[in-house]
Amino acid sequence: MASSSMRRYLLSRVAMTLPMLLILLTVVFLMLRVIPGDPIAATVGDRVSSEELENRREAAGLNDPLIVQYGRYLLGAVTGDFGNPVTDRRTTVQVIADTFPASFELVVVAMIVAVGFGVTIGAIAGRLRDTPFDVAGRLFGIVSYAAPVFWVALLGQLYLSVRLGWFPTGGRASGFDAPESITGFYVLDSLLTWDLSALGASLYHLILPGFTLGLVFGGIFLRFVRVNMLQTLRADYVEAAHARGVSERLVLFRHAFKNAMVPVVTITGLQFALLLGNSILTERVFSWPGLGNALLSFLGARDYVGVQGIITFYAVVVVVISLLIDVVNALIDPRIRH
Amino acid sequence: MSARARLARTAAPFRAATRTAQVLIVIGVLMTLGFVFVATLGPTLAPYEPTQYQVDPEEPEAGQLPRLEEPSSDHLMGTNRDGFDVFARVIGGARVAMIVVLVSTLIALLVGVPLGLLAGYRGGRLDRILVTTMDAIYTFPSLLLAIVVAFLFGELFAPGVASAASAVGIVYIPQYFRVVRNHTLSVKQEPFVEGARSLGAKERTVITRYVFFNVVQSVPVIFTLNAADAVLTLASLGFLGYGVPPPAPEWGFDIQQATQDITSGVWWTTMWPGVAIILLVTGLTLVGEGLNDVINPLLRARGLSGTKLRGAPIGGSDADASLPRGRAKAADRDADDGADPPGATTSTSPNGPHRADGPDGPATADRDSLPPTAPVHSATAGVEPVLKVRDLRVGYRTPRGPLWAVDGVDLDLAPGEALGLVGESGCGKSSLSRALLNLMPPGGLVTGQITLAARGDGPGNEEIELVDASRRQLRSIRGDRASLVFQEPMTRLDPLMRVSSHFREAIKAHRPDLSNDRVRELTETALAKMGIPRTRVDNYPHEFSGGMRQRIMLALGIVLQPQLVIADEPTTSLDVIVEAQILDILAELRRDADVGLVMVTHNLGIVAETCDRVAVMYAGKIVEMGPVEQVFNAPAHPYTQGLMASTISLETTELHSIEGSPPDLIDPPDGCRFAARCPAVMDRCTEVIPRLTRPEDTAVDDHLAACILHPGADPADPLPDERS
Repeated sequence: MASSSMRRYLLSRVAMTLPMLLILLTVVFLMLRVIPGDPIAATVGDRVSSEELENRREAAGLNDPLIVQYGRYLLGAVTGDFGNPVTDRRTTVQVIADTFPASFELVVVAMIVAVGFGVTIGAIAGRLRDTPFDVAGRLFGIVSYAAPVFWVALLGQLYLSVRLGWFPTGGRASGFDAPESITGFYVLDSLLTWDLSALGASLYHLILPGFTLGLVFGGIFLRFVRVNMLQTLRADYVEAAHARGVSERLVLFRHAFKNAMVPVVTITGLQFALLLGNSILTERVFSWPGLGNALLSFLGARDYVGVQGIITFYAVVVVVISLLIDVVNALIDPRIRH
Repeated sequence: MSARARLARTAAPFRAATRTAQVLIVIGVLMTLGFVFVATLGPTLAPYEPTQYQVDPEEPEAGQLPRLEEPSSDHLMGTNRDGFDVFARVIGGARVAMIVVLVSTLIALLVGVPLGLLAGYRGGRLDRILVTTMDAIYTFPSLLLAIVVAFLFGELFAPGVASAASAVGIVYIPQYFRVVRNHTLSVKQEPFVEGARSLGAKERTVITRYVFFNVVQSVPVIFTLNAADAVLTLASLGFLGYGVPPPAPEWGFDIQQATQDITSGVWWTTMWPGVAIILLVTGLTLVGEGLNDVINPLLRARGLSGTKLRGAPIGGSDADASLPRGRAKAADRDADDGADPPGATTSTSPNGPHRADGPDGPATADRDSLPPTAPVHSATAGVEPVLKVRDLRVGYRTPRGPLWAVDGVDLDLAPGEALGLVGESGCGKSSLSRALLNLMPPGGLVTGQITLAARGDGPGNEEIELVDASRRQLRSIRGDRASLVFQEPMTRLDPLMRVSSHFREAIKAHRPDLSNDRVRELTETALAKMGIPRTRVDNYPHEFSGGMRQRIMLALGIVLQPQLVIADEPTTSLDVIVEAQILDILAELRRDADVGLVMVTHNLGIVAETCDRVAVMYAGKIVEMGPVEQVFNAPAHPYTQGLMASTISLETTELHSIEGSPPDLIDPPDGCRFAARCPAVMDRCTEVIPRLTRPEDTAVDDHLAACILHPGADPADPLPDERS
């Protein structure tokens, strides 16, 4: 019974996702088509002959009617073909395959940091409302949110890497330090090959970028969890549990905290997207060879095809993640399944 | 409403906020105002222009970068690699940030609001498409969106303040859209829109106007929080080179320029613009969050504002009833709800044939607490009461001072006896029912005596005094020897837990050594008694109807065979059939297990049906108490008489109501608290607090009323036994 309601929920949720994906892709397509001229001319127009330009235009299908291009774009997006950048010999998919694992790894570490410290301090602050701990926790949450990601990263780099030499100043583990590449996720690869020195090197490079990015987002979680705790601590079922003589500790964890976490899971999807977006700043500061830096170099080269491909990929990732988060949510909260 | 009254109403939630919340908001407002000041006047006050070359012309070294000067009295924050004064750049950056925040908000409003109105007003497919589009934009990483838009606008037009502001503004369109659309949708269904149309007004005009006034209230919060975010987004754009282009002073770009300085140990070029961003964003967030904390009723810190309560009030009450009645009532009700969490549906009454929604009805006088020496009333004299209450007071902290929701109550309850506790909303009956388990929300205080009799022999079953009991002792009593069954069955069960888990938790809390099988057995038996089949034991709360949930709550309350059950409106919001079932179960409990029952309700019919005795509460005090039949047939207190007159029965030809509203409990009137509404009021009523005494014409011994109409009630009179 539970599994059938879960299946029904999944189906309806997927059905809701498709229009959103379609609209996102359409917006991306339209946005990158409003620029004057065409992508090829904008990128290399002044460097090649007009014949060459025409050939490349024809090859890229830019002479087809807009609606045909749109159809081809959509089809490509769902079949995993994000186009061929003008300024890079690789296909967009290859660029993504080369760089996304680095970004994803960074974002996962940041997420762990953010959730770890945000949820802990937020929950305690909510329980201890208006005590000095609460005020300090809130201020810390607000200030860490207010600090620009790149600024914190720069200062971390200045003090912890340059002055104290505790961490590398940037980049991913490379050369002999890097694990044999299987998935592109270094931590995963070093675990798969059980290469502990590579694991160490990977983490060593990850820690500072991951922490500086995660700390900033921890502030958001902190504030959110605190507010949820304030509400669940006053919930009817919490008072009812007290009235049944359930111990303070159990009421706190089993009822107040667990219920406070439901909306947190919901925003985690959105936060993940935000982190993915903001990781571009961290990548820039630490010369992290990730998707964000790839996007920035396409933007810098005015390579619209590359930009469009990467943005499309981001859109797909974001939609898939929000779908996954909803599924997790449905597993936790029985009400959603109905 | 006058401007002043309007202002006072707007400020009311702020005054009700806790001290910490107030301080944080004030700090945030000051920080934000400081920045607005700097942004508007700063550039004229700053020592240099942000783009004024600061290098000594004496040493022009062609092709070489200028020397970065450390912070000094000349250059408070040093100079940067362009040779500009960092302090002047930071101040100039405030102006750029303010302009971009304002322009981007304007763009978001100009696009989001009309689209929201359109979507909400037209509905249908257009609405669905717009909503999905906005959701899609909202889901997309906002910084990436801003980067791409800034890039495109830069290509299409030219990079500058306008394209940066558009890029930042686009990110916030979905939020304004959503607020406006949701308001429009809900307004469209309001009856007054139809009414306005029938009067000839244009529907569209009415909706727009109404939505406008509603949305305007939530805009400050959205705006401040978005402004904070906008400052960060602008800086990020600047850092990546897609923001306001140089040489305009922009914090993010300046930090990007300073990146290389870091390796050579120069910190001031990075530090100061970052500090400026942190201060501004912190200020804005403090304001936005503070407003939210104060405005959002779900977050209000009830019970924690005002002075902490230390003990019971001394003496009676000082008379200064200058406060408006309306507010008094509101405050009163707040206090009564103090223990109820938000969103609790308090009373929606399915109209049973005998429903007497207490408030309103002309009636009598009322009195104050007995001195502890006064005669106490017990139905079954000679039997040791299961519950003995003396001089019970329940107080709450409020911003205007302490509020005593229960003010000196004495009660006895025999085993197997059912006592009805009636009165209008806010009379203190819910507070009393929680106080009987000493279950207080933060800031609440219980004083007096509550004695729970021993339950047989054995450890943990001895007689216990609940007011001074330790937390551990109280915990062991609650749910085991004494149970509280709440109203609102829909919200009292944890939505994430199976019903069986609720039982396991409650049973294990008191009988940790029971085996799982035994726990299961107890659970199934208790639920079966309530008519919940064994097959549903593992379902989640949302899979049950309201009536079933109420029976589950009741089963949870009696699974450990308590001596005392306090039922707070156990049948409100249930239909008549379920109500009858629940009342039967309660009656059975009393009969078979000798459970003492306190039934809190405003439904006199239920009391007549199920209770032996009834206590009528008014403004925190018991004004009349006695056998149900006696009190209902021959009420001795004018308030009870009013309640009876406002009851609907088969013979009702005329419906009476008690005029006026209950007194302000923060500042209660002198003398009898019912005096102001009493049809039989005399001068003496406002001078003395009447005590509970036996009316002379009553047929039974344990009938008591607190009204000076009856000899002996005036504290100046001799006590009845002295009289005889």
